[in-house]
Amino acid sequence: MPLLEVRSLVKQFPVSTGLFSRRWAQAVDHVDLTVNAGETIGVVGESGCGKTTLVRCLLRIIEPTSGQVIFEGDDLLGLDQPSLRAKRRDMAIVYQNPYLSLSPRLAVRDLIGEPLLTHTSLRGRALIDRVVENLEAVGLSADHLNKRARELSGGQAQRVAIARALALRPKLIVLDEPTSALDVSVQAQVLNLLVKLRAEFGLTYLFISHNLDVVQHLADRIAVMYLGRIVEFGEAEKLFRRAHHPYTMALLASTPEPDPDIKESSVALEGSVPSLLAPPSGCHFHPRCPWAQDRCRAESPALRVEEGRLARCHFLVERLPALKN
Amino acid sequence: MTILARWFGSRFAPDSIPARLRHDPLAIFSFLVVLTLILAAAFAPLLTSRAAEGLGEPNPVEKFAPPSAEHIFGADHLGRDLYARVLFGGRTSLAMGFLVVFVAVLIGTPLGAVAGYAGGWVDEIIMRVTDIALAFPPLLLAITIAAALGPSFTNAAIAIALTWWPWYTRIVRAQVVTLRERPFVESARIMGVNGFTIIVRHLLPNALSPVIVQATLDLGSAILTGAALSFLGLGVQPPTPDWGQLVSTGRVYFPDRWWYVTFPGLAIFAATLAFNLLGDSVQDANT
Amino acid sequence: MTLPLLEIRGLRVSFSTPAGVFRAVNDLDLTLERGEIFGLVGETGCGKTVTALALMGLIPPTGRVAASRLSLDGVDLLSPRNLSKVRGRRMAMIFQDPAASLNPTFTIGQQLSHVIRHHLRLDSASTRRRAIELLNDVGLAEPKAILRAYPHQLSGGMQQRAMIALALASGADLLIADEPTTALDVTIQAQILRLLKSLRDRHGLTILLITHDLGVVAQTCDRVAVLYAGCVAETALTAQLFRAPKHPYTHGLLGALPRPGSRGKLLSAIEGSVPSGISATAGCPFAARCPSVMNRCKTEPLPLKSVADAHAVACHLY
Repeated sequence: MPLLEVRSLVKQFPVSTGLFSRRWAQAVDHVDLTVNAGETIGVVGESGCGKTTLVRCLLRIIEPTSGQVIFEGDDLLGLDQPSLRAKRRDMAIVYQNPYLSLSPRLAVRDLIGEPLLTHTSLRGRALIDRVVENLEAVGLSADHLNKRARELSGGQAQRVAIARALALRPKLIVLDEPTSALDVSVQAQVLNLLVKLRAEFGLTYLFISHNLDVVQHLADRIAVMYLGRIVEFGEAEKLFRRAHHPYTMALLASTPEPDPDIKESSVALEGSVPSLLAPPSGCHFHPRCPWAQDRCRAESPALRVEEGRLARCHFLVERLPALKN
Repeated sequence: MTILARWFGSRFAPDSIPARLRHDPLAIFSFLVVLTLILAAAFAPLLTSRAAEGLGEPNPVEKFAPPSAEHIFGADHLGRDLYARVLFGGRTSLAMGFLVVFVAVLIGTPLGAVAGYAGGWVDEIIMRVTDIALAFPPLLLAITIAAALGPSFTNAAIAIALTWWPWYTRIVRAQVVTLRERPFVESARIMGVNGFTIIVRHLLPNALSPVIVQATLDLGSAILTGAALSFLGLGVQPPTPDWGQLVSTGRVYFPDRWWYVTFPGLAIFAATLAFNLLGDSVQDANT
Repeated sequence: MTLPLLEIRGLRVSFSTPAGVFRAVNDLDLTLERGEIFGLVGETGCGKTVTALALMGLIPPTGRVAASRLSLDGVDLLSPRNLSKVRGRRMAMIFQDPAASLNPTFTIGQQLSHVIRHHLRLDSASTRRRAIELLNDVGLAEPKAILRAYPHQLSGGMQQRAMIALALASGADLLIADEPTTALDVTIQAQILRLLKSLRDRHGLTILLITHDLGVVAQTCDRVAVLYAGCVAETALTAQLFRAPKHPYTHGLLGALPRPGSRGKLLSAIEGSVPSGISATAGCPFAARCPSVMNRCKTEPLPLKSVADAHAVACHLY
C-alpha cells in the first residue's frame, strides 16, 4: 500500500471577473499521484502550474473540490476535525521562507516544542531534551534554544523549521521550495541535511520546486505540472536524460546550466503561461508547443504509459523515435 | 530605494520599539511629562502639606486667594489650595484614562482576535455588534447611564469604555485577518494546534503593536473625554476633585479668578498633549 | 587601446547603522569594455546591488560613497552635476520586480513617450514611431496594443521587456540589470536573457548583469566578477572562471550547485554564513569559511593578483 495516494484531485477557485460575474479557475485538474513510503517525489512546474495548490489540498489546508487523498489507508477528505488532527501528527511541511513560517515572537525552544506539546505528553526537562535532540539532528545545538528566528541566519532558521517538522518523526514531509529563499552555499548545506535526515529516519519527502536542478538532486520520481495537470511523471534520472513531454523538454532546456560549454538548447519556448481562467482548448500546452497539430487543439490527451513513464501527449509514440537521436 | 531599505532593514532592524524610542528626543520629552504627571498623582500626599484640602476639606479663610508663595496655583471658592486640588484631581483623571483604555483593550482585543480568526458568521456577528457600539456617541451614552445608575467615577468609566472598545476590535481583527494567512499560522494549523492556542501564541503577540500605539494615543483622548464628563457633572462627584470638574466649577469665576480654570485646564492640556506626542512617536517607531 | 566604457576604482560604500558602520562595498575595482555583458555575481549582502546603486547615485543619505575613480566613457560620475546629466540618458537600470518599477497609473505608451520626449525632444508623431520601434526591439509583439496597456495588464515577462524598452528609450550605452530574471519563471527567464544578448549583438549595448545565479552567468556573460563581502574575490572571462576557478570561494560556489549527475552525492557546501560586514577584517574576508586558510590570510590585506590573461584573484594561494 502506498503511503499517500491522490486520486483525481480537483481544486477550483472562484474568480470574480466583473461586478456580477465570476468564473472558475481550475488550479488542480484531476491529479493522480502515488507516494510510496521511503521515496522522494518531486513536483516541478512554473508559477501557476498548481503545485502549491496541490500540496495545500492534500494537507487539507484548503478544501479540494473533488477527489480523494488517501493517506495510510484513510481518505483525509472524509475525516472529521478530531481524526484529522490526530492524523496530522504524521504529516509536516517545510516552507520556502523560514522567517515567514516560524512564528516571529517565539524562541526556538517553543517553535520546536510546539508539535511535541500538541501531540505528546512530554513536558519540562524531557521536552527540552527532545527539542535539543532535534536541534542536534539538524546540525544546531542547545545554544540556539533561546534565539528567535530573526536572530538566526537564513540557513539556521531553515534548519529550525526542518527540526520543527521532524520533531514528531512524521511519515510524510512536504518540502515547499525549501531552499528557494537561500543563497547557493546555504542551499547546499540544507540539501545535504535533507539527504542525511532521509537516510537517518527513513523519511518520505514530497518536494515542490520550480528549480529542476534542485529537484533532481533529491527526487526518485518527478511529476511535471503545467496549468493544473501533470504532464509527465517518471523516474528522475530517466526523465532528465530524455524528457518525453515537450514541456519537460522546454523546462530542461530553459534551465541555465552553470557551465558555459553546455550551450543553450534550441528548444526555447515562446509566449508565457496562459491564464487559468481561460486555459487553451485540448492540450493546454499546444499554443507554445513546437509540435502542435490540429488534434492537440481539439482533444485533451490522456496520461499514458510509455517506456515506464507517464506523459500527456498525443504524439508521444510518433515523437519517441526522433527523441532517441 | 525600497529595495535597499528592505534589504537593509532586515539586517539591522533594532529589535524593539523602546530601543528606537530612545533615539527620539520628542518621545523622551513626552514620556518624561507623562511620567511626571503620573508620579505627581501617585505621590500627591507627599507633594503638598494641604492634602486634606486636596481631598475636599474647605478652608473658608483663604477663599479665592490669588497665586502666591503660599498657594502657587491660588485657592478656590471654598479656600482650598488649587495646587493640592490639581494634584489629587490628577489621580481621578489619569485613573479614568487608564481604566477606560484598559477595559476597552480587554474587551476589544479578544473579540477582534476571535472575529478575525474564526471568520464566517462569528465574524459577522461580532463586527455588527461592534458597528452598533460605534454608533453611540460617548457623551450621550454617558448621560443615559448617569441618568439610570447615577453619576459616579465608575459609571463614567463604564460609559466611555463601552463606546471605546470597538476601535480595538477593528484594529485587532484587521491584523489577525492578514496574519491568519501567514505560513507560520498555517504551519501551526497543519500541526494540529488548536484554535485557542493559535490565537494566544501566534496571532495576538504579533497583532499587539498597533494596539499599543492606539492605546497610547487613546490615553490622551480618554482623559479628555473623562474630563468632559466631569465638566458636565456626570463623573466624579464633589468633594473628590477631577480636572474636568475643577474647570467646570472654576469657569463661573473666570476671568476675575482666572487661576481657578487655568491650572486644571493646563493639566488637562499637558496630559493630553504628552500622551498624543508619545503615541505619535510609538507609531513612528513601530513602522 | 580605447577608453573602457565604465571604470570603477577603489569604490567604497558604507552605511552607519545603530550596530556600527556597515561596509557594503570595500575597495572595489571594475572595468567594463564596450559591448560586453559583464556578470556581477555573489550571495546576499555581497555588495552587488549597492555597487549598482552607487553607480546610479541612488545610495540613500545614510550611506557614504567614496571612490578614487568612477567614470562612464570619460565622464566623472563622482560629480553630482555630471551624474545627473548621464543618469537615465547614457546609463539606465532595470530591477528585479518590473511591476514595482513601472508606474501603475500610466499606460506603457505614456511612460515611454515621457522618457523619449524628455531625452530626445521629438514631436509627438516621431515619439510614437520611436516608441513602437522600441517595443518591437524588445520583442513585444503587437506594440500598438502594448502602448495602450497598463502595466498590470501585462505578464511579468512582458513587463520586464517594457522596462528594458523604457531603459533604452533615452539611448543608453550602459544597462545595469539588477537580478532582471529572478522573479520570472525559467522559460520566461530564458527569453529575457536571449533578449539581452540580442540587444548587445544588435546595438552594441553594454550590460552590467547583477545576479546570484551562476547558471545565468554561464549562459549570458562574457566576463564575470565574483563578489564576496564587498570585495572582488575573482574576475575572469566566463569560460575561464567556470573551467578553472581559482578562488576557494568560487570553487565552493560551483561545488555547491546541484546539477545533473549530483544525485546521491553530497554537495560541497561552504560552511558558515556570509559575514555581517560590521566588523572590518584586516585580511581576507573569506578566511573564516575558507577550507585552505593560512595564517597570513587573517592578517595581510590582499590585492587582486593577475593569474592569467584577464583572470585575477584576490587570494594568498596565488
